[in-house]
Amino acid sequence: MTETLVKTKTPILQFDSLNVIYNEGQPNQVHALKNVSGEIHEGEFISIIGPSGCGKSTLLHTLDGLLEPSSGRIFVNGSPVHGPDGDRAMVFQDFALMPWQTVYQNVAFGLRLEGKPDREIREKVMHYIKLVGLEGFEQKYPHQLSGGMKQRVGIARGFAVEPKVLLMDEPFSAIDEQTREIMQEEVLKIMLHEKKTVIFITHSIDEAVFLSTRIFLMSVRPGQIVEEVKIDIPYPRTLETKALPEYQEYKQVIWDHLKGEVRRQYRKGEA
Amino acid sequence: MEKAEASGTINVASSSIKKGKKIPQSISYPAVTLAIILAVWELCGQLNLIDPFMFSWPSRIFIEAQGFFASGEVFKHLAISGMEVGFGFAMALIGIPIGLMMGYWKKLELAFDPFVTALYTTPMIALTPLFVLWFGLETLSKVMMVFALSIFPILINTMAGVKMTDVSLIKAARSYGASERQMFKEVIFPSAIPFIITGLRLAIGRALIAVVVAEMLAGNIGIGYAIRHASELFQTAEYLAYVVVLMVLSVLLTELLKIFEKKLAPWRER
Repeated sequence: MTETLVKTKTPILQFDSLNVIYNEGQPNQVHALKNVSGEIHEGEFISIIGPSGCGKSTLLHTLDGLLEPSSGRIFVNGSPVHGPDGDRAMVFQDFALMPWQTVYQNVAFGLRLEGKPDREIREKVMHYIKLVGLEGFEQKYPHQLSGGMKQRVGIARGFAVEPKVLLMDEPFSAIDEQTREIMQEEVLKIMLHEKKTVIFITHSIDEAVFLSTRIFLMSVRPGQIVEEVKIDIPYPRTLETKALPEYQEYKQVIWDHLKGEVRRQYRKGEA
Repeated sequence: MEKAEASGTINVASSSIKKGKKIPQSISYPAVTLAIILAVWELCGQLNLIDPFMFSWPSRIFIEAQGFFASGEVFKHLAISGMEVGFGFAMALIGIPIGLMMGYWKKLELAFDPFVTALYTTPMIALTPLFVLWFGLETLSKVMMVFALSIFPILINTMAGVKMTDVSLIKAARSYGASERQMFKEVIFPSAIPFIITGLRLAIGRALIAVVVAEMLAGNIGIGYAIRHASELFQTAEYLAYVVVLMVLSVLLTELLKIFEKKLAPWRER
């Protein structure tokens, strides 16, 4: 049912044979991404998973516009992307919050740069601060917050600019395990509530299966998308979902794919 | 309750039982050190171990200070020196925008950095006679000396601050579409503020050196002049009293800057 619906619409984000080559033409040239293509539709939650150093972050930065691909093209709703813009917002692994700004100012960051009027900023900022559960912390500085709370600020900052696609670069990898599980659940809740499209990078198979509608598996360098796995577990998903047999099967399938890549990387390292 | 108990145990352990209840240790400890030094020094003076021609001791210095405070003599000198430092220092603040630009644009840094470093490390105080020659015996030469000595620490620290800006913050700002101007305002400048303040602190020390040396060399008013004058008359106690005034002044200025820093950079953990 969703299949037919999806196919008739233009993808919200499309990327076509992206290549990223660092230090092109020099002896230390690195081919980071090789012919990476994909189509992402509205409301999807895509996880990208792969061995470390496979170019996951490079792909995300390229999609954001922070990195210019050596070749290939990116489209949002059919129009080409040139550099960062308000259609995509990033959530960073190391939070990247301005230490001199309060929670409120940090969440307002993107809106302020866009030059939005104060009233609109206030409305949106308060809405998203409430959504991520940081009410009452508006005037705190980042160093006064825990890791989990910092990333809530990062997520609220991303949402506040109301992007078409939210790009999340291993957002929970610097957060402790318990907080992480709670954050995963909350992110899903917010996604469903706000009907946002997400691209999510992670190392964790568990996290990827739990969150995603589809998972892209990447190979070792040069990074390519070698496999796509559709996760047919209905939302809303809760921590109980993790006990389902099909959940475990999905994890196994992905691990089997990934194992080969990790082995290849090992061999490369030894050679 | 808990706190009082905790500090109580600490005090017992460090054996200064009654004092430290309200006064923070960062004040009480150096205060005790100072009291001991002054007491020993005074004792040496009272026991005639110090030749008053060569050196002096606290009570004599205090009497001299009382004298020039009562006559208002010291305020006349302080006003002039203060004005010279004020103007020179205000001019040296131009080092902040220059430092921001040099830190941000690699080409500017490449073109000027070696010269800035050279000028910073040169003992510029050696230029005092030249400045007197150029700008006269009056106030202007002192203002220019203060400027010349204090601009470089401000400039260099500002530049370092810009270059120390966290790359991930720059990346985040770019991702959220910051223009060049917004990048400066939202990321680079606030990130450099603590460095700028360090630069100002270093500059204050140099500014005081500049004004005192310049006044000692030429002119007939100002703290530097007062010091030279007293020393030429072998009024060692008076001479030292002026030095104490200078010392207190520089400590006060530095402390003032620390308060200023807390106001300006409340996000910094201490």
